[in-house]
Amino acid sequence: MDHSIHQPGADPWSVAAIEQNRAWLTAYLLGMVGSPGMVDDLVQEVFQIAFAKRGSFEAGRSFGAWLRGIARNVALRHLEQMGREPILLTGACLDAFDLAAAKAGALDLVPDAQERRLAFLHECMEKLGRMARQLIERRYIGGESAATVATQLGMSVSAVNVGVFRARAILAECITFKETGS
Amino acid sequence: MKEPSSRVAELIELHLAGVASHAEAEELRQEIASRPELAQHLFGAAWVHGILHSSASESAQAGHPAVGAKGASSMPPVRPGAATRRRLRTPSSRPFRNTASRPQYNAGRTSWLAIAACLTVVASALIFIGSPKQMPGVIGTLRDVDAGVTVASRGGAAAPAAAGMPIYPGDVISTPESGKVTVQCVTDDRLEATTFVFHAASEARLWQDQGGKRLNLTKGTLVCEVAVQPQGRPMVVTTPHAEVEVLGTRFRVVASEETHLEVDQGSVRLLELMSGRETIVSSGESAVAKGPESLSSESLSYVEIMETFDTADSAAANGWTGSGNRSNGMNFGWISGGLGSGGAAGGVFIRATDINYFADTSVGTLSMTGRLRLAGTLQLNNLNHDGAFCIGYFNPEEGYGNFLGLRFMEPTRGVKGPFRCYAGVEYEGVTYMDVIELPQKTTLPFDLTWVGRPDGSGTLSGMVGGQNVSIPVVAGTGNFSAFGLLNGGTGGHNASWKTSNCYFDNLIYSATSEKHSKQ
Repeated sequence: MDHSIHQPGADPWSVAAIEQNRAWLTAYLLGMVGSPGMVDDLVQEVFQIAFAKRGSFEAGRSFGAWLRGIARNVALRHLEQMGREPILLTGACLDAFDLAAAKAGALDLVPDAQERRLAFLHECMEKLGRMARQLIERRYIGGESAATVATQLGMSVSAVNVGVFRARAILAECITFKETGS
Repeated sequence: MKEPSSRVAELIELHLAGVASHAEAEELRQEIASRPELAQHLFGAAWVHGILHSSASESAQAGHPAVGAKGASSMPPVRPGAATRRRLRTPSSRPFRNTASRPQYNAGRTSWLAIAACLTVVASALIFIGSPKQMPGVIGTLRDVDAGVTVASRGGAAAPAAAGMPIYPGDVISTPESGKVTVQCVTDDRLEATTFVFHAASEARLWQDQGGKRLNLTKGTLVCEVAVQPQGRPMVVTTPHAEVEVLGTRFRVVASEETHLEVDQGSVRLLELMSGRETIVSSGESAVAKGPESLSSESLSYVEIMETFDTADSAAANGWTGSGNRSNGMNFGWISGGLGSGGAAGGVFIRATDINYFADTSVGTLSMTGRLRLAGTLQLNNLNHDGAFCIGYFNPEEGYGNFLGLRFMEPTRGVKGPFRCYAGVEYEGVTYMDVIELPQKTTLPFDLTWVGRPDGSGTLSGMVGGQNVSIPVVAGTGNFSAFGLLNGGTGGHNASWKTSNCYFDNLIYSATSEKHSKQ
C-alpha cells in the first residue's frame, strides 16, 4: 500500500507541507547516497525540482510516490557525479526501500509529528540498556566518531558500529510503536 | 522481519556515515540484492539517525540536554553544535594589519623556537611498518599522546585523544600549552614511515586526496619526517604564511606571527603566500615566510572603504546601486534602520534563478592576485524558511562566474535551524567552501581577507560569527568589479521561498586607489 504524503486537500506547496516531508525524505536520500554532508542540499534540490515540476503532478496521485521518484533521480545523479554505484541495485530492493519510506511518510501526517516524535524518543531512550544508551549518547550528543567511542570504551570500532545500529533499531521499533500503537 | 547480521549492520553503519570503502559498499550492495528486505532496515537506520540528529541539534540550540535526558540522567552535557557543526577551526581570526615594513624572506636565517633535535630515524624510502588493518579512509594513527591533546572530527566537536586513535581526512589535532602528540601516517590501510610531531600549543588539520598528503598548520610547531612520497603526489604543508612542498625529507615548521622552516635533511620548496616568492630550502638551511603585515604600502594596490549606509543618497553617491533594490521591484537594497544607526544593506532574499545585486560598482577592477578584505556586521533573521544570498566580490554581468565572499543558504533542519554560511571562492565552475552554521535572529561580525598570489591562488581566511575560517584555493584567475549583495542563481523562482529581513552594515571592502581618490 502506498501512502499519500500530505494532508488530503492541503496545499502540497505550502511551507508546512514541504516541512512535513523533510524527515522521511532526508532518510531516503541518506540511505541511498550515504553522504551525510550532502543530504541537506539534496533534499533542497528535490524540493526545488518538485516545485518547478508542480504542473506535472496530477491531483489524486500519491504525492509521496511522486516525491520519491524525484528523490531517486536526484540521488542517482549525485552518485553518478561522485563516480559511485547505487547501493540498491534491483527493483525488489528499491520497492522494499520505498515501502519503508512510504510508511515513515505516513507517520508524518499526524499534526505536530516531529515534536511528538522527539518526545517519544526521550521515552524510548529510557528503555535502552546502559551500553546501548551510552553509545547513542556519545555518537549523537557528544558527536564522537565511532573510532573515538571505541577507544574510550575499550571496544572495537566494529562493535561500536554494530552496537549503534542495534540501539537505533530498538529506538525505531519503540518510536513506531508509540506513534502507531502497533 | 529477520534482523540483519552483525556484518550487515556494520556495513549499513559505514554506509550511512559515508566512510564505506568501495569493497564494503559492494559487499552491502550484494547483501541487499540477495535479501531485499534489508533495504527496509537501511531506511529505518537512516530514519532514526535523522531523528537523533534533530534532537541533538535542537537541544544544542536550546542549550539543554538532548534525547532521554530526564531528571538525574547520566547523559553528559550537550556541547553546542557538537553533532552538527561542520567547520574549520583555525586561529587566524586576527585581522591582517597593514604596516609599512618591507617583506622579508631570509633563506638561511635561523630564528627558531627551541626544539630538541632528537630526530634519529632517517626516512629515505617509503617503508611499510607492519600492516594492522585500519578502517577505510584512515590517514593516520596517534601515538605518544600527552594529556590535553584533542582531535575534532570534521563532523563533530573536539574529543580527548588517545594512543591508537585513527585520524580521518579533515580531522583537526590540537595540543595544549604543554603537551605533544605524534601522528603516524597510514596509506592504503598500512602504516607508513612518515610521522608528524605536533609540539605544544599547535593546531593542524590533516587530509589526503589524490594529490597527496595535506597538512594545514594554523599555529604551533610541527616536526615532520616524511618518507619518499609517490611520484606526482607530494606532501604539502601550509601555514597562514607559507606553503611547503616535500617529496621526502625531515624538517620543522613553526607557525606563529610568521612561519619558520628548518630543513634537517633533503630539500623542500617553500612558497611565501603573500609575495608569491619561491625558494628551495636545503639540508641545514632555514627560512622565514612573513605574513601580510610585512608587506610594504607600495605593494598594496588596493585601499579599504567603509560604507555605513547612513542614508540612501550617501550610499548611492558612494557607488551602491543595482537591480536588486526596492525601486526595481525586488526586496533588498538600501534599508532604513535594520541594523545600527541610519540604514543598512539588506532585506528579503528569495530563491531565484535571475541574478540581482545591490553593490558598490565603482570599486574599479580588482584582481584575485591582490589582497581583498570583506568585513562588517550582519544580522540574520528568518520567519519563512527558504532563501539564499551572498556578499562579496563579483562582476554584475557574470554573477557567480567569479565570486569571492560569503554565501548564505536558508536554515536547515526546520524553521528554527541555523543558516548555512559558506565562505569561499568560485571561478570556472569550481567552488572551494566550508560550511559555517550561524544562528537565526542574531547580529554577528565577520572579517575575512583574501590573500592572493601572482598565479591567482591564495587563501581566504578570517572569522565569521566568531568561527574561524582558512580556505586555501589553488591557482586560477579572476577579476571583480563590484562588492556587495548578490542574489539569485539558486534555482527555483518562487517568491514564497524567502528569508525575512537580513541586514549588513558598516561594510569594509577593498577598492582601487582611483575609487578612494574620488571619495
